[in-house]
Amino acid sequence: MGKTESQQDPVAVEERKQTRRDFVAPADVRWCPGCGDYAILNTIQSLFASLGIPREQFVVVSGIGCSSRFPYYMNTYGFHTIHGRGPAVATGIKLANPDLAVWLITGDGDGLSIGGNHLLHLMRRDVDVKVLLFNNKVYGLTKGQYSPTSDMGMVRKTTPLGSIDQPINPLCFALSSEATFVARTYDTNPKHMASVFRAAAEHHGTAFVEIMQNCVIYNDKVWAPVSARDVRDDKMLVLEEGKPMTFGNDNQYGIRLNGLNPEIVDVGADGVDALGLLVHDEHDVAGSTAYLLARMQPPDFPLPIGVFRAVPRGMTYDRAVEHQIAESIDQFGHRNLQALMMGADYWEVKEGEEGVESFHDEEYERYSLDEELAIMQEQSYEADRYRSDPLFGALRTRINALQVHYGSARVLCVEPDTSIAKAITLMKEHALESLLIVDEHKLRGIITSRDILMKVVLTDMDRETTPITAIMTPRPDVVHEWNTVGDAINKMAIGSFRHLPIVNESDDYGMISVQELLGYVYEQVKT
Amino acid sequence: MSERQNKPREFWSTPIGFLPLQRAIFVAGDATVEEAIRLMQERGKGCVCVQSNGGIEGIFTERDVMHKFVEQSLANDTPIQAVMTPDPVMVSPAAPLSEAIEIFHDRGFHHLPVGDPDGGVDGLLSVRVVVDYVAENLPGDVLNLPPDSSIVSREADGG
Repeated sequence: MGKTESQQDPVAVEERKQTRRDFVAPADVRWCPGCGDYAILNTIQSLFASLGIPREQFVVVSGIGCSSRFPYYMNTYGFHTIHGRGPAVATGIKLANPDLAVWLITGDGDGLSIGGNHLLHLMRRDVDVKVLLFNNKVYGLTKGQYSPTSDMGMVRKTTPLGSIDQPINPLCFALSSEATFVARTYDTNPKHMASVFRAAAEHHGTAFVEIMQNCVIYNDKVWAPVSARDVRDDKMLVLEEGKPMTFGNDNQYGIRLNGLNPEIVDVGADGVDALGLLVHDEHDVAGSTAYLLARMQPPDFPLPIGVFRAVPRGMTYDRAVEHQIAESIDQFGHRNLQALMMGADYWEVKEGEEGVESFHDEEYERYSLDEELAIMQEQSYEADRYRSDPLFGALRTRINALQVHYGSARVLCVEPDTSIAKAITLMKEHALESLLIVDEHKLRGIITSRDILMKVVLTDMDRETTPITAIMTPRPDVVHEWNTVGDAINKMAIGSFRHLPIVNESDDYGMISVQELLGYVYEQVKT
Repeated sequence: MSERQNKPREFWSTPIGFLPLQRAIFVAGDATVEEAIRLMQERGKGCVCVQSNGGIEGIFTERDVMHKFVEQSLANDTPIQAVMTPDPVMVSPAAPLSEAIEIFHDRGFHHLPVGDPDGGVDGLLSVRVVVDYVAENLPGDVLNLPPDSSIVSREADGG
C-alpha cells in the first residue's frame, strides 16, 4: 500500500520538530468574527504539532456545516465530504490505511441529524477515528434553523413559537452507541480542550468529543449560562480521573449517589472523605456512571466536562479488519480477482441450453425508441381502461354527487349544551342514528346511538341535566364535499366509523353513513 | 383480459362466508331486556341474537334499544321476545357480497346474521367488515389515499 520512507520512519519526525505553523493552511478562514470555531482550530493546530505524528499522516474529514470547513484550514490531507457522510468516508480512509490519524469534524446538525445513523455505526464499530462534534445548538451555515440539540422553547425563524422538540444529548447518544471514548469540553477554554483532545488522540478506538461551541450570530451565548467565567465554577463539574467530584468556586459542593441517582451535598467542614462522594473513574467498564454523568445538566446539576469514559476494547475495528485479512491470507494464500471469478461458484449460461434462458444484451437492444413509445402507449391505454371501470369511477366521485342534504332530516346539528334526554328525543323523532354537536359553525363532536347504548342506557346518568358533550366523541374526522367516495371509505375503514360528517363550502354539515356509501358504489357498478 | 379487468366482477361476487364474520352473541328466549342490554354493553356489541331450539328466533339491536326501550315506559324485565325483531333477515354464506350490500343499503342494517334460518348461525356480517374488505382489496383507490386527496396533484412530481 505504497507507504513512503518518511511515513514509516519516526526519526525523521524527531529531526524536523513540527510547529503549529506547519498545520496552518494558507487558505483564508471564513468563519464569522468571534466564532468559537477559531479557538478550536487553533487548539487542534497546536495539538497536532505536538503529537509526534508527521503532518502527512493526518486526514481531517468533515461533512457539511460551518465546522465542516475545517479541512480547508488544516495543512494536512483533508476531505470535505457530503452532508452527514463524514463518518462513512472516515471509516473508508482508516480501513484503507490504518496508519493514518483520521479526525472527523462534524456539528450538531451534520452529526446528529443528517448523519446520525452514520455516526452511530462509526462508534459502535469502534473505528479508530477521532470525532469532534461542534455543538452550537443551531444550524449556523443555513442561517439559524433549529437543530437536533436546540433547547426546547428556542425561537428562531423555523420555530416562531418556540421549539417543542426534545433535544438530543450527544454524550448519551455516544454512550449508547458504545463509543469507547466519550468526552465534553468547551470552546472558551483552550487548555481544557487541549487536554481532552490529547486524551482522544491517545485513545485506541473511536473517540467522541462534544465541544460546547458558540455561534456568535445565530445562537450567541447559548452556553454562557454554564461556561461564562463568572458562573463556570458553580455550573460546571470538571471531571478528573481518580478525584472526588466537587465543584463550586471553593469546591464547596460534591456529588454523591443516593440509591441510583446523583445528589448534591455541601462539603462543609467534615471534608471530602467523610461524605462518600463519587470518585471519577473514566476506565469503569460498566457504563452506567458515565451515562448518569452525561444526563446531569443545569438547572438541577452542574454540567460535567472532561473525559466521561475511556475504555479501549482491545482491538479497534480497523485493526480487526486488517487482522481478518491477514489471517485469511495465512490460511488461503494470496488470491486474485480472476481466481475468484473462475472459482467454484462461477458458471456460464450458454444460449439455447435446456432449462436456462439466455439473457444477453440483445434482450435490451430489441426495442427501438418507436417501439418503446408504442409499448408505453399501450400501457397507458390499459391504464385508462382500468380507470374507466365503474368501480374506480365510483370511488373517485366527489361526495357532493351523492346529494348529501345539509341540515335536513338526514342530519341534525345541536348545540353543545343540549341535554342527553333532548338528544335522545331528537334522534327518535327523526329516526337518526347520530347527531352532530356544532357550535358557531365549528364541529365539536358527534354522538351515535352506540354512545347511547353503551354510556347511557341502564346507568344512573341524569339525562335531563347532563349535556351531550359528556358522551360525545370530540373532534370527529370530517371530509369535505370535494373529497371522493374513496376518501370517505378510507376514513371509515381506518377509524371504524359508520357515520362520517361532511362539510360543504358554506361550513354546513351533513352526514353520510357507511350503508349509503357502499350502496352508492354498488349501484354504479351494477348499472 | 388482464387481471385488472376481472377484478371488480370477482369482487362483488365474493361469497359472504369468505369475509371474516363476527361471532354472534346469544341470549336465551326467556331473557329479559335488561339482560340483553347488559350483555351488549359488556361485550361492546350493537346486536344480540335470541336463541331458539337449533336456530335463531330473533335479533335485538342498537336500533331496537333506541326506538323501543330508551325513554319508553318499558320495564327492565320485559321479555326480550316482546322487543326483538322476530325472524330476522339472514343470508347464506354462499351468497355473493353484492346481496349483503343491497340489504345493508335498503334496510339500513349494521349486522346481518349469516347462516341457515333453520340451522345454526355461522356468525354476523358487520357492515364495517365490508368496508374493511373494500378498503383492503382496493388499496390504491381507498386505503392508501393521502389525508386529503382533493389537494394532491394527480401528476407525478415534476411531470
